[in-house]
Amino acid sequence: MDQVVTTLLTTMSEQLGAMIAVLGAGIAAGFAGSGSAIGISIADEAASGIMTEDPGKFGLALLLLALPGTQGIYGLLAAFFAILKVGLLGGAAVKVTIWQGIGIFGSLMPIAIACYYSAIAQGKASAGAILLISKRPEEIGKAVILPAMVETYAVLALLLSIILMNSIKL
Amino acid sequence: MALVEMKKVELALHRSVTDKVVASLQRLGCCEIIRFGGDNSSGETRGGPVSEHLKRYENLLSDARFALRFLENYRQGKAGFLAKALSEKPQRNMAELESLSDETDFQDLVQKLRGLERQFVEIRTEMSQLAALETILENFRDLSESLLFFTAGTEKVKGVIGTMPVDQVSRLELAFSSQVGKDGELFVKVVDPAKDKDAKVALLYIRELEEKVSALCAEVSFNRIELPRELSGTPAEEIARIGEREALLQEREESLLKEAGSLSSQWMDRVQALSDFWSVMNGRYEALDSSESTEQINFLRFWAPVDALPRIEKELEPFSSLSDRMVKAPEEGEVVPSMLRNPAWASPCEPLTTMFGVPTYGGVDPTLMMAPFFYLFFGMCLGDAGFGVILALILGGVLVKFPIAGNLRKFLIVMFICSLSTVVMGALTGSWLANTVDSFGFLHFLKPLRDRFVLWDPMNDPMTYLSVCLALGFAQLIFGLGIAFWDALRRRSYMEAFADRGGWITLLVGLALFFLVSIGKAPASLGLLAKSLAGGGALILFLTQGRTKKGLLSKAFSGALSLYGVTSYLGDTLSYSRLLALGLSGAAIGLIINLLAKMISEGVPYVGWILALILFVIGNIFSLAINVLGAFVHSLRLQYVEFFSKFYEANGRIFTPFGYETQFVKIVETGDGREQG
Repeated sequence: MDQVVTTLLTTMSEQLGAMIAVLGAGIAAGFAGSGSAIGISIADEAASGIMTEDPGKFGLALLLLALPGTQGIYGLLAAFFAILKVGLLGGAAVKVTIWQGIGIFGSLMPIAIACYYSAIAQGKASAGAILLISKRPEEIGKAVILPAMVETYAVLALLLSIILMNSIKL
Repeated sequence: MALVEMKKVELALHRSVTDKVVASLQRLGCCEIIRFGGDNSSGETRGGPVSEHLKRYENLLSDARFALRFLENYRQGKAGFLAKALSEKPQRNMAELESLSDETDFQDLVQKLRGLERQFVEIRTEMSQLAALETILENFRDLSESLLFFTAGTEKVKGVIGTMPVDQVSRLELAFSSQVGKDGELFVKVVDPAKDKDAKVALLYIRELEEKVSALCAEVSFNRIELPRELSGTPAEEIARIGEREALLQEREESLLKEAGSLSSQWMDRVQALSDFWSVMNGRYEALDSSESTEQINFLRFWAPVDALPRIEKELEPFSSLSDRMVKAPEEGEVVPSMLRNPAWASPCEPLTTMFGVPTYGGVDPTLMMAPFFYLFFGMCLGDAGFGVILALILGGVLVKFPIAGNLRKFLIVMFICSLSTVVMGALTGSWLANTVDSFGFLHFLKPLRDRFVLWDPMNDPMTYLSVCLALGFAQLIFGLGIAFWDALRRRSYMEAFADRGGWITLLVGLALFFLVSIGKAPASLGLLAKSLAGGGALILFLTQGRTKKGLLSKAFSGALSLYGVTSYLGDTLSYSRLLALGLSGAAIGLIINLLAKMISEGVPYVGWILALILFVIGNIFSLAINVLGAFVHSLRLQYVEFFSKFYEANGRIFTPFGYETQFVKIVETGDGREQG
């Protein structure tokens, strides 16, 4: 019995840290991707709407509805950084303690949360901008800038996630 | 930096030379005509030759628009959008166009085109009517009686055809056989009993029974179909006849299409040139129309940039005996148009400035100050020398190969300079398509070459690079405040310069210095200087920011509250951290691509390297596209939100000179070969 417990504890101390980091990576990529998908679908509705009037706006609409897609990429990036850091993608074996694993998990939270919500919010902003170019396609410059205001906070979250992860020394 | 100085020119012209002078001004293309008395809201366009000309050209233009739309539709071998955007406009001169306009019987062409259009419409209407009739008749194809019975009927016999609900059919059959019996005939067709809800029914009966049959029909919700009167054969015969007619119509349509196509290839270019000529002439008469006139004299007023005045003078020389002119400075309260002028390396950024807003006349044109920051920030955001080289090659090629003009050209030049800056920033951070050199063994030999230029490595040491970004951002903010300071001095509003701008500059520089001293990045001996700068700045702000308020207490309160604004400067500075984040995200995507490519090339036998190459190329194209969009948008945002907000007033109106505005041809001068756009 004791032996079982010892083995359990040993594997735990050896692997749980990395696995907590993996959990964080999963949440980051999953939530950020979901947010982007929702955001793009919101913008998509507006794009389909204006294209019933003028299918020629496809290019401009595509440019705008691609904007909420970056959050998903940021999430993937951060997740990738995390699993790279705990040595799951090859390279030298890394020893990750449980506490380090929890730290990495925490460092992924800004990106998971901010990307999810900001992508949805940016999707709404993009939808508005798409309506703007349906009437005034020449204002595409302004229409691209407006939704980009929302993205700022996803960028800041990515920055913090990377800095936090970088500050956890393995 | 400042906008081009404008002068208002007032011209008094004798009637006899007005046309010629206006034509010369249009050729020069450097004056913006001012309408007299706002607009002619009374609707009375002074009559006379000018408004007649105007009307004539407006009609011609609307005809030309119709003709162009028609000809474009039937053009053979349409040019693609890109080919159209990139191809060079044919060059014509005014004299040529004028004689072209005179010798062309345009009305004849328009008549012909309208006739063609009418015929197309007629054919298409008839075709659709025939198709509708055909579907109806198709349901009664098996009916062997002539349709004559069902349209007008004969003396004795009458019939109706129509549809009715399937479930009522047996009822109708029963009632029909009992009430009409041998004096009529019933034809029922259900195409697909499972799906069809309506049965196709034809009733034939002797005329005397008409009322009885009508009542019967009403009972079973029979829905009568009216047929055109001229049908006389059996449905099968009629269907065949319709087929013949359709073939005939199709043949006619094809021959018309051929005619339209040949007209299109014959006339398209000429009508395009004419349309441009007429729109130029229309513009000229509009200018004339906005002049004020007495019996002998026309008064014309326009804005012109100062440096264009000698050219205008020279142009008006031949008319000096019949004209008089006065050059005035803009008066208070007049809305003067703004004209941007910048050195060649910055001027492509002008559309970016005007996209935010046109600078107020007399204010600052931020293009020159923004351009270097924009180029630099774009380079930092994209941050990959490999991407930079690819972009530079593509854009350079397009710019050299195609005669693109206007804002598109400016945009491409901006992107070209940005891609050069990307090469520099990428080289400094050691990113050539991310870490491609490290990833693939056969490229290792390039490593020393790459490492020679590396200044920072943001992937491994993001904090150093972050501080570089924030420092740059802080510098830009202070620079923005400095411009506002200089602008206020220039306008002699010293209070604004020294109290508002100066106070903040002193405070912020002091705080930044204090921060550097406290983290040990600046010598401790500067600590006192830092403190006194910050303190002095804060004191200035405290003492001055409440100056518009009444009462000592509310003055003090407003002054103290203004210091809270330091958080917004902090936020602005931190906003520049996006430079690092975007640069990192590009590099990290590249890292992932390389890692996956390496895994595939080592893991998959034989074809691994092909798959890896495909992944590498597609992945990098995707990464390039998404990162260019991000880099452009975010570096522009930093200009608009963080930089422009410090000093830029954008309430102006862009200078739109009166000139040759053409869509299809480029109008050139014949005489001395000068070109006018």
